[in-house]
Amino acid sequence: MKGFIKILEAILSLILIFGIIPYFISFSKSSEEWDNALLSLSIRDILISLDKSGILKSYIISGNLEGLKNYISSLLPGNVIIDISVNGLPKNIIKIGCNCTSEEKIRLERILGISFTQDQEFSFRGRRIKFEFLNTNEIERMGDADLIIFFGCRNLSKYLNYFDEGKAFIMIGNDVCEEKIFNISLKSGLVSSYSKINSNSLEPFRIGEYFVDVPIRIYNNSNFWIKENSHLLNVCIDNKSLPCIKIDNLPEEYHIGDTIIIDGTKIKIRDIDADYSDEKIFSDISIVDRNYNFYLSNPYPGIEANEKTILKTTNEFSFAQCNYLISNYGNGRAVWIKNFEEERTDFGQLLKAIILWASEERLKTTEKKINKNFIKVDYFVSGLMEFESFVITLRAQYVY
Amino acid sequence: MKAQLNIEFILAVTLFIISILFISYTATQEWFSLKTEIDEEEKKLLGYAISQLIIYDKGYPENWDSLENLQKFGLSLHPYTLSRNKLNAINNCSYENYNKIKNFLSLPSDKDFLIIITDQYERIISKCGIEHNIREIVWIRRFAVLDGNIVKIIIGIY
Repeated sequence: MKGFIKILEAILSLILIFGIIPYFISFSKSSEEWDNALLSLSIRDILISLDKSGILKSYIISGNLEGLKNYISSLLPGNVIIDISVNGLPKNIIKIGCNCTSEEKIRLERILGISFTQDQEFSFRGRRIKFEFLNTNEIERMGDADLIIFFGCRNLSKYLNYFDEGKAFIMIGNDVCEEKIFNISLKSGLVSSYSKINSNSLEPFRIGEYFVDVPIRIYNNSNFWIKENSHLLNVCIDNKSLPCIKIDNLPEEYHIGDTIIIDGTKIKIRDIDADYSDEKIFSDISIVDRNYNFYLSNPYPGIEANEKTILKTTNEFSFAQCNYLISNYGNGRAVWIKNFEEERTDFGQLLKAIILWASEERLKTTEKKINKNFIKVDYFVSGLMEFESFVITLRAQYVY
Repeated sequence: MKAQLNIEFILAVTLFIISILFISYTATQEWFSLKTEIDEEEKKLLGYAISQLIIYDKGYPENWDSLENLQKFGLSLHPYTLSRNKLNAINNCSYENYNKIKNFLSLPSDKDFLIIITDQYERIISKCGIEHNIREIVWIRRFAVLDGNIVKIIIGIY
């Protein structure tokens, strides 16, 4: 009996020893993360090198994210899978659905400075952006649209799925409706006629950044607007045969790249087409003043300003509101803007900027095999004079 | 019969000896394994440090193009942009030049390095270092730009 107890003691001590030893052994091994750290380092190196060599920009401009993914994959070991997403860039081709009458569609095109088909395309931060209008005016048939524009009120309750798909709605009008979607609420009081782009919130600020870089097309012998004044623009050719413009029939000639001050506002001349062989003689100009004062002769009804206000008066009323993250999946954008006269080129420039913002997309490649054990690298490409800023996010994982 | 050992006692002692042997074996194995891991980590750290120097440092003089007048090692023109002249200067380096670079890198005498710069299709642009067949090697891979193209920087530490 005594010997049997001794055996039991020995077995017990063995169990204790085998139980304790692995604890100390595993403790000394727990800090090894080199593989993921080196993969993360390689990805960051590749993104920096692609940015420095200009290759990244060329892929982004052409919207060829699959090509970029393949290029990066070719540099990484064969057992690594990746996917890429890019945030903060408007699409190269923006498909617009106009839920409007033919007169309203013509009005919208005039607001955007589109007189001929070629005017649908414009230069923006080193890229060519095109506004492509759908051939339908029925919302039900606008599944391909990136955004849908209408004048006045619409009942959007049947089209909330469009927000899930990442589409945007832009409402132009003075009536107050779909308050929740467009983030608008009435406010009584005296409304100022002047408003500025709200720089205190990120999304309105970003619209403001687009505004100063987006051009508006003014045809020869037409007017453009600065605050409450219109000015005549004429295209000319100077004595060195260079294209130029004149303002209000004054003798001064201005050329491409010049920045001029009119009514205390900075205007940049981005392009001049002085080819008299056709009737398409124009200049692309931009208001480049971040603190530009938008003037409305009829600022009523009063809409309360909040953190999603794009155009804010000094007495906290709003001329334009934005809304975002509308759907349950965090998609969808909506913008409401007060009615304005179609000849108001300053509002036209703002509407172009709003369209760019509303159509911003999350470019993404998909890699189904990536599970929760991936590493993530974010690379911020800061905005340069000739290109815009964006964030590229790359997820990677070893498959074996 | 007091001097006789009973069977229970023999079993207990056997179990004890087995367990002592097992623990000694495991501990020895772990010790060697940990030593290898430490050695590998040390090599990775060295490789990483050299890669940082290659990518970020211009060396001295900044526009050096020959190992003759080199006073500090570095292969870049700007961060993440390599210099073609500097890569040409280290390409197919002799033992003497290898030791010179090794000295600049303050590499321990029991360690050796191999630097290979290739284009994205693995074609060698520049190579300098010693290759061993027996010793364990650790590789660090980095990327940079050379003449507007992406190149791979492969650093092996023996």
